[in-house]
Amino acid sequence: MSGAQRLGGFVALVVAMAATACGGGGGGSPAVSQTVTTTSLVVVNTGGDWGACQRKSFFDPFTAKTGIKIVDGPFLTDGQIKAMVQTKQYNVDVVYPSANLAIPPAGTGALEPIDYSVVNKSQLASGTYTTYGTSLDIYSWALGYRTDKFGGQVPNTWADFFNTQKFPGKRALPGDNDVPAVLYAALLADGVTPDHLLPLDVNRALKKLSTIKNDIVWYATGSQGQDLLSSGEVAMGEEYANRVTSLRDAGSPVNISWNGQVVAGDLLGVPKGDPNAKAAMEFIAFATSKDVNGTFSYCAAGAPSNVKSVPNPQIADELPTTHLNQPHVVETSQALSVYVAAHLDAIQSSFSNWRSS
Amino acid sequence: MGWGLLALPATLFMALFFVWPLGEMIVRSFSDPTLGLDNYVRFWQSAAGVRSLLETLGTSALVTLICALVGYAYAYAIRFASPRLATVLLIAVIFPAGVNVLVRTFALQVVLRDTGIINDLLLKVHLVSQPLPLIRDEFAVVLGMTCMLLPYMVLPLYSVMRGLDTEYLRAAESLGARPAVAFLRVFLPLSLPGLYAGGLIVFVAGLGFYVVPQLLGDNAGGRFLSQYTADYMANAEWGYGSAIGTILLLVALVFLAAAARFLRVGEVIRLAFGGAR
Repeated sequence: MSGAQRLGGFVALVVAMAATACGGGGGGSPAVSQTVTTTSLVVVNTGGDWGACQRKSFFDPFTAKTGIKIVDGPFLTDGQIKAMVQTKQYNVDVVYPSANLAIPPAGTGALEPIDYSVVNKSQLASGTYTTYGTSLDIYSWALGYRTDKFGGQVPNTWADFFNTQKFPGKRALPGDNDVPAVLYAALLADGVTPDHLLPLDVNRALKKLSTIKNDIVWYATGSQGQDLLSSGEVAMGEEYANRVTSLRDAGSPVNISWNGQVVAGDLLGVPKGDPNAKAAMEFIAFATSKDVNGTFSYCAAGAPSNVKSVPNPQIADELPTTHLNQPHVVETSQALSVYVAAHLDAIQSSFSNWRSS
Repeated sequence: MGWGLLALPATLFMALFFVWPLGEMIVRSFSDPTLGLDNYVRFWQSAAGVRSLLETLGTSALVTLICALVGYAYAYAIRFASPRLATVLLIAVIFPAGVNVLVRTFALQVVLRDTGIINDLLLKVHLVSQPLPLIRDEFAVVLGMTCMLLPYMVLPLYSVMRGLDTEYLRAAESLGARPAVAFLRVFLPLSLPGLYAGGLIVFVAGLGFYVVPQLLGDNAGGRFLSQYTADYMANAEWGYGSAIGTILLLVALVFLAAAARFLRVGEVIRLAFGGAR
């Protein structure tokens, strides 16, 4: 998430608080408990190519089928989702909670349990659905590198990523938006296998990261990470895979290594107590259904979470799911999300203290 | 009553949107998740938090000093320039301040980075063999913040200087003072209120900076308190975030109180935002 989004969060919170105070004093707060016939839903859509693709693949077909209009909503952080539920000002009906919020007990007060009698989870890939979230697509963090910096040598693994002797140059890491993904990459580089990541040895990961600390460039949003790689500011980065492949498609001298990729589901959730919860569940069921789920791969390089859904065969090589035969970590797996959610505070503090030392 | 009623809408607005949330923040810092000083103890025990606070104070102080030196010379130049040149110089200060901070910071990023305009040129003419470390360090943050905050130093200084009667300088010189002495013993002391006003505003505004250190800083050792706080606000730790906000507020108030020994705070605000006398 970007700084602007975070600042936006503060502003939104202040306004939300003031609005509650106002509603309480004036006695004009809207009733939310009555049964509502939903005529429109607000779904997070942050625009750009992906935003347009989402509308074309999911929003408009849903409206055509149900008559329920879909309005673009802003991205909300976990903190903002909680604030929205606390103040009962439901501005967005379908949100993107993090994997840490979408499981009990973290999400119990903040999100509605996904109604799996409506959403067909038997067709969804493992690691793409939790108690409080169902994923629309599968994305991944992978090793993106410049092809013009190492004299033809190719970095294949996270171990190569940490080898600044053989592969000199700066490294981009998403320290502000996915600390666990950074720690997983460091542990894989240090010889840990993907199924032995738990219990997470944070100190071991930080020790490994210390070996390249002076070469790390921390970034906060996917677009910043992409920009660092495309401008040549860094020689390698832990990047959103689709952002690396789209640079490659556009002719940039970059490539991707899928070995050790950190795969995750983009979870959709519904705020607790949302008056449009029923329609929101219908939307999630619709968007993850067999016939609909894969259609977005014709306008964006993402993999469907529904395993019965067929993605665009022309972009097969660009999808994280095509490369699952190589070692990989499933960030949104039950085991990892439960562990990280339970230890999030300690992980964040250790990481912050290490980073600023 | 009477004319006082005109202040009512603004007072209500401030009470609702400023005083009330601020009070809520202070209350939460002592009560969320448990009643007591837990949030404050946690902050003082966190190495990253304390380091961010010191970084924020140190960088803001350095930026204030640089703004004072550069801004004083600039305001002095406007004061004694021809009217036409003075207008151009003033516009050059005010105009950039109207452009969004985020946009200006991104522009600086393009100029300063390893593959940016400056390093590109230096590498091409073989003046350097490695890019100069212009970005992702203290230097870039100080430069960026100075760019953003300089107008708030120049304007109050110019406002004071313009009100100064140059007859004083002539009087000093007629009594035998060389120009340098006349400046140091007459002009400088008289312009000090503008310097204090600008310094206070630049320093206090600097404490809350977020975008500039986020985009130009190293995001490691030199993180600002606002960046540290954002980590916890994203996880909805309102109590802890509120405690950090309250600490920063207290620090700012201490500096305001100290400044109040030199001048009336009301005058600072008038000098900064009120324009000419």
